[in-house]
Amino acid sequence: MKSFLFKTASFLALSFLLIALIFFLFVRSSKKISKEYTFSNEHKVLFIGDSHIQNAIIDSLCPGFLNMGKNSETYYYSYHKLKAILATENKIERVLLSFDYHNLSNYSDAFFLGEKSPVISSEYFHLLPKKYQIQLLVSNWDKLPTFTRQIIKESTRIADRSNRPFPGKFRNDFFRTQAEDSSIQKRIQTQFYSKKGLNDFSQFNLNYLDSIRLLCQKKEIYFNLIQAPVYSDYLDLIPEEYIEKYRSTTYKFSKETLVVPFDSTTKSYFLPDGDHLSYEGAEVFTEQVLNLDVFNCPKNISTNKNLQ
Amino acid sequence: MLFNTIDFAIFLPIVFGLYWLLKTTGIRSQNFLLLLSSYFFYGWWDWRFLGLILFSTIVDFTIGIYLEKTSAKRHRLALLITSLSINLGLLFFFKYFNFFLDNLNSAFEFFGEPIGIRAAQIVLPVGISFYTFQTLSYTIDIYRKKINASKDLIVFASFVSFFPQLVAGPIERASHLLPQFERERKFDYVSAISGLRQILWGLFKKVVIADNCARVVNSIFSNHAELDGSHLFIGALFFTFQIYGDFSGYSDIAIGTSRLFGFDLMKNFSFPYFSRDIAEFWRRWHISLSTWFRDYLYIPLGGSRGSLAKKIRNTFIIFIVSGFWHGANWTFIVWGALNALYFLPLLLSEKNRINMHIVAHDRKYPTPKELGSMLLTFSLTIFTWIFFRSENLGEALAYISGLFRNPHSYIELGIYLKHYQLFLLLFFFLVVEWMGRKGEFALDRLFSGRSHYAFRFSFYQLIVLLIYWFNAEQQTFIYFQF
Repeated sequence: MKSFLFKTASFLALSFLLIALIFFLFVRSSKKISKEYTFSNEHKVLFIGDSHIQNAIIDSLCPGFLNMGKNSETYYYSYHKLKAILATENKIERVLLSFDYHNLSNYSDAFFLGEKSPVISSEYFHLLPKKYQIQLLVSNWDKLPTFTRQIIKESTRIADRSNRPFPGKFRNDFFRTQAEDSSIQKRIQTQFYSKKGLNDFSQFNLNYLDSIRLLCQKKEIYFNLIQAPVYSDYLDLIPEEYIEKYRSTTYKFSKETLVVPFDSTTKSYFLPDGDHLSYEGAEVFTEQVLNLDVFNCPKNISTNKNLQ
Repeated sequence: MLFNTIDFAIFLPIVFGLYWLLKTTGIRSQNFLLLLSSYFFYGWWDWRFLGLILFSTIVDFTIGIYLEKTSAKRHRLALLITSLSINLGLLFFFKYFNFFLDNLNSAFEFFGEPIGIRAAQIVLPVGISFYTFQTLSYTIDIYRKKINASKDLIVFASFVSFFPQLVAGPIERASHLLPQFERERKFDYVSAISGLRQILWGLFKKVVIADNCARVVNSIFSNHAELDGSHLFIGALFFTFQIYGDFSGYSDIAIGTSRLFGFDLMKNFSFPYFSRDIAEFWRRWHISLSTWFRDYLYIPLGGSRGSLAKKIRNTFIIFIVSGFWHGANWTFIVWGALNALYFLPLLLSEKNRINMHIVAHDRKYPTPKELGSMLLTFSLTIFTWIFFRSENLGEALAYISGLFRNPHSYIELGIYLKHYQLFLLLFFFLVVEWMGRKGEFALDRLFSGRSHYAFRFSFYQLIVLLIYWFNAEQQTFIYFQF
């Protein structure tokens, strides 16, 4: 029995060590690549946030813009991503963070330590401080093989240096779509309600919103909040509590909040969920953003003087 | 609890440790631990159905004792019928009730008299077909005076619910498994190491082969109407490997786990895809079920003796019942009937027992004739699996006709290259299975006496790495639904 236990334990320990070694080497390599990565000189304005901004800003229309929005990215991930980018990057002059009603809801807290954590956090793992990495590994212990494998796969993607070591880029494959009532209802339910009723506000997200602002201040970078449009019917269904909270938060950030005029009643500008812009809507929205006073785009976005 | 989960990875070492620690206190406490662990294992999925197992256990235990005590033929028969009625009644209710109701509705509708009885909301208890057949064999064997009734309820309950094989077999015979609960078990190093190897290979089959095939298969079968013939062929081919990897993988883990506890379960698969004819395939596929039907249905019906008509009747009965055992759907019945059609020519020409040994048992490679026979048998099997996998007969027929859609697509390399990773894994799998075909399972005697320890060790580590890396989205075992 002793020999059996010893041999089995040795075999399993070696398997574990081997996988752990591969894991740590890959994570280290990703971290190293992200530290060495430099953006193109032309990128001065950075858009970050979740799928709302990822779908909304067609950065190829303006050379100075870089859309690094990523679906399901909460402010916790945005903060650590931005921190890693700004650690070596000194050409970025302005950061625009997507801020919408759903960012106030705690449904997205599950993206960090909840059930969706392994899928979402694997792309950011190498950018996180050690204590958060350990926290994620511990909280996902029951999905450890899948979780660590996803992190390694992400690292192999990063190792191919043609990819950025930071998740997020413009993506919108939704042509000829339009907002639909049933999808809007579902979306509202997902974002603002649970079985218990109305979702609480996410203090976790709001704290990191403050952290992002502070980080930009510290790095002497302009910081703005920007709202990607939602369809008018969707807007009508947002719970009053959230409308109020949104108002008070934007009031707190009144200097930083950008207001972009947009026709929110045109169905074809939206995906069926009424919560994201279609490609057609993104074209219109990008154009509107370019016309904002803070940019003199596309003529001369490249110097600090043009940024208010 | 699924074998391929962290839950089981924690559960198994704990039960293993406690089990051997209890050795000094005697087999009774070890059996009690196994019983509790088995109920825990089953209850992890749904504790409500534990009552059903308990009920079935008590009924058969009691009937077994009375059967042994009673010598009057009429009373014995009445007891047997009671046991059969209760066990098969439960099985019928949970598994077949809605099927019969649907068909009854359809029949009345066909004759213009719709009765519109609504289907009942019935949840199928996992593994009911497996443990029902196991307890049936117990009662029938006592009736036939082949075994004595168990006098120890803990022993009997442990036999019925033994966790490694509770939910998907192998379906054990009381004459083989029950005595193992009654005698002292000794820890056997060689058997335990072999058990671990079998678990490792079972996990590889399930997690790497079956689950990765499942991803492609699910997508192809759910979109078959829009896909070219070559895609449908790939879907059927991958399902052929999925079902084998899934079910034989489960059996390997079950047998391997039992070995860790000093138990020996019967072999359930013996490299069926290397069979040279359908008769050989059925001697190598789901052996515990095939032999169950042989002993308790086919032989009592007269087997292959008697007139030509009787032979044909018996063959169809056993294959169709076997198909129906898998599920309440016409697709399984057609699957069984097709296998009967494949089997009959061999039986009638008395060629059903010509391939008794594993192919090329004294050689490294098969002869061209053997290779041809294997490929033909394999192709026939692929065809039948389409019925097994389809939701209904209409879908199966549409799938088969779809195989001829855009035949040019069969020569487009891109379609195959799209799945190159899976093809490479299947190639590796087949090579290992071929090299290990003379053992109880592929890794059993793969390296016997000719490889360096370091090489073997590295090979097993490679399997672990492959399991880790190609661990696809977790799928439940297909045979759980049966």
